[in-house]
Amino acid sequence: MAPVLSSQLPRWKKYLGLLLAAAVLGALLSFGLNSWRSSSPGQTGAGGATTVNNRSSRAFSQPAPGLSAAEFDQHAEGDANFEAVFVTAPAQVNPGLGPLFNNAACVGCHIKDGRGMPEPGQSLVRVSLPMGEVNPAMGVVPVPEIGVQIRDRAVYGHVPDARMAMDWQTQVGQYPDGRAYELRSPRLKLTQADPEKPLPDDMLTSLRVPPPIFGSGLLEVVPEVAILDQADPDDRNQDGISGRPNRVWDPGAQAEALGRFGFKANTVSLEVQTAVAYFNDMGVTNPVFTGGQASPDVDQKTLDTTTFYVQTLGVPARTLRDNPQVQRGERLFAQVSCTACHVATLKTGPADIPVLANQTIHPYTDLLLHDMGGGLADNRPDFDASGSEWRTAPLWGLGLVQTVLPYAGYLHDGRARTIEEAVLWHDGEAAESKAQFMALGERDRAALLQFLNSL
Amino acid sequence: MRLKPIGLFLAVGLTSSLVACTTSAPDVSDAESPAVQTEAAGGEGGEGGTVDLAWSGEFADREVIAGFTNRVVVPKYEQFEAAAQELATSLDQFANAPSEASLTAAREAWLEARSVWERTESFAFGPAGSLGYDAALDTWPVNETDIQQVLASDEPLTAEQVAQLPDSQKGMHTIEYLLFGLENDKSLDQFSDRDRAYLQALGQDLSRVSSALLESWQVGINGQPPYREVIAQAGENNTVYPTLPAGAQEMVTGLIESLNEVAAEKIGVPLEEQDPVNLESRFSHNTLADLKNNVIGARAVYYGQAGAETAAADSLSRYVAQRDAAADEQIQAEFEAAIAALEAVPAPLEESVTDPDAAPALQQAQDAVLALQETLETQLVPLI
Repeated sequence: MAPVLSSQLPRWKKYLGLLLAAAVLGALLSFGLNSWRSSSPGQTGAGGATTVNNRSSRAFSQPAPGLSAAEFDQHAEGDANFEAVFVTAPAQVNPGLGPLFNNAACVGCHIKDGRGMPEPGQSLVRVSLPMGEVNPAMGVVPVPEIGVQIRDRAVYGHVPDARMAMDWQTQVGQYPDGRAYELRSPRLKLTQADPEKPLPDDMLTSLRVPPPIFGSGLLEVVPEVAILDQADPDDRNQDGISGRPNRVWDPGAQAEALGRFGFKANTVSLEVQTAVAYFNDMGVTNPVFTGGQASPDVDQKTLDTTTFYVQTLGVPARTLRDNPQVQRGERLFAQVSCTACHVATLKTGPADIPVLANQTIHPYTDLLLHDMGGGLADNRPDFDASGSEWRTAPLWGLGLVQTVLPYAGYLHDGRARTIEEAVLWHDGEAAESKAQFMALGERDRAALLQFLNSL
Repeated sequence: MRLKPIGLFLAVGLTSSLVACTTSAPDVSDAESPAVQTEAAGGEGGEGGTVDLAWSGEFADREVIAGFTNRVVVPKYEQFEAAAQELATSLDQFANAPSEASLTAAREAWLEARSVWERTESFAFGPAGSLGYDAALDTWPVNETDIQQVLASDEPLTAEQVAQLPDSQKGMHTIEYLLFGLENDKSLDQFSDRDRAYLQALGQDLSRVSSALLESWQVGINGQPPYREVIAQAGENNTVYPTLPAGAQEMVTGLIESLNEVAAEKIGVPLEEQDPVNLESRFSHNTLADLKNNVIGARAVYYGQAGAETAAADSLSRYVAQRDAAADEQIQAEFEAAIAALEAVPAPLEESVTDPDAAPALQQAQDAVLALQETLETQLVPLI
């Protein structure tokens, strides 16, 4: 505390008693908290110090508590970048859209920093070829004239890579207790739009909805060794679950590195993720992907502040934590071994942003690739990820997905209309856990789903 | 930094609590985010950076949420649908019989629709994002380059055609761009046939989207339940708002963030950059009215009824008054002060934002809105 000047003494004196009382009360309170804490392990703030108590539609858009004033300024500037709608150059405000793109703004797909809908305009299609020479920076064999992503929109006078449409097919199933359910999956239809860009018959496609972005700054600073420690590529412990890291390309270091972000963990860092999204999704050139322009559409400062915004969003605290059903569901979640991949607790290491450093967090992911079976497979390999492997999706904020974006879907292509449907799509390494879930009584299944909705 | 007694109490209490925590448990970060309240609250930042707001989770008055949906949200969307319909009709008349009178009528209809829309900003949640209505109605900035290309082409300009255009080539701001000119200065003889045809189609599209938005709240779209029920039934076996406080938090978060947007973004950025190009309704020179309507819309949420200057019985205002009468009085007074401060700014903002003589009034308006936001964060949030 700064030295107190004599002229200020009278005011401070008034508060002296208050100060002492507060100090004593605070100390007592913390001892109380500690004893409560030790009785509920793994039940703490989802994002460590970055946790925010907000269960509204804006829950994914809150700045992390504990940012300094200067950091908050940077966050706010990044927030404006994230909302910026790009338009065709020349323009006074936000020029640089396209010529080809999927959407004109970050928030156009990551609505309120959460998901987008499984619909053209808010979703995109990754493409590649099954045979040929893998581009080491892309991790796949790109499609001639198109690349690795269908940009289904274009500014005036240009033609998109392809036209995109989709419809849904349904299938039915039954729990062991006889209760029926219905699942749906998308059927993608791509049609040629540009005579110069034929769509190869053997083109591999993978439909993706945009994922929520909060919390990824924490995942970025989980030490690599902690992720690799959990890997079991050859399933040596014979639990049926392997867990493999993806090895991807780092365009900054121009070297191979551990992949952390994206549904197949094909991206090394949030800066690269942000730069790729500007370039591929919006057609906005930037210092990492210049598109051959001497003066890219956005500068390094814009790229940095947008990345900083993504890194410094808070993680929503869980709700209904003292609800007995939720608590029962949490135990069942571990009992049927969902936690073998959806690892509840990770620790972050050192970080440039102080509030992200050395936090105990509860993302419910191991950040590793797992084979999820044929039903979910996109059959499109990506770096070391096979056509049926996916990175374990973080589950924090899961219960808020449809609060932030009503009617949003779950899983990589948004096919699951409910959390229950998402569970039922699990297969491959998750087959045994799913079978155990399905064998639970109706009330236990409901409790487990209630737990997931409390995240 | 100046600390109020309560801030001092909490700050010292927290510090000692943290010290105690570290001595007994090494991992301070593991505690559920402590509900700390200091002067620099919430998303505002300011001098002290960010802290989590002190939501108590004690809100338990279902009628306040029902009043909000039934007397504010749905009536405002009904009013918007009517205003959009009126705008479409005026644009039809202007397209079919261009005259000074029909141009003026169309502009007035746009200003009225804009006024109603801006009063809905503090409850911009629900289906409007998922179903694309928000983007179709209110994308900013407009894509002037591509709009000019569309005008220069011979593509048909029907409502169906316009509905397929990207969002930055339709909606309220594209209508504004075509109807008012770059500086609220487009004269009757500057309207081409294509301008008028585009405007006519845009009006019809706006009217269609405004009806769909209302429908999504009132009766539901694509087999979904009406969204009014989703929030009104917060806490009742409800996966979207599993608790009653979550429903109230939706209302209050919307209030706080819309006020912050007015102060920090809509006033703050153009003021700092000394450039009217970032003002949202710069073509019509209507930005100042937009800002005032944002605050009036927020006040309607607090008062639990649209179009009245007093609080309804089942309102956030009464809810606060029953627990802390002084807090309610302060919030009411600060709403009035913020509106008055915006009224004191010389119009149009498109000119006054760079006028040194107007700077103190604009600064005062920004401060008044921020003060209100801070009061909501410190006085209202702990009751929710």
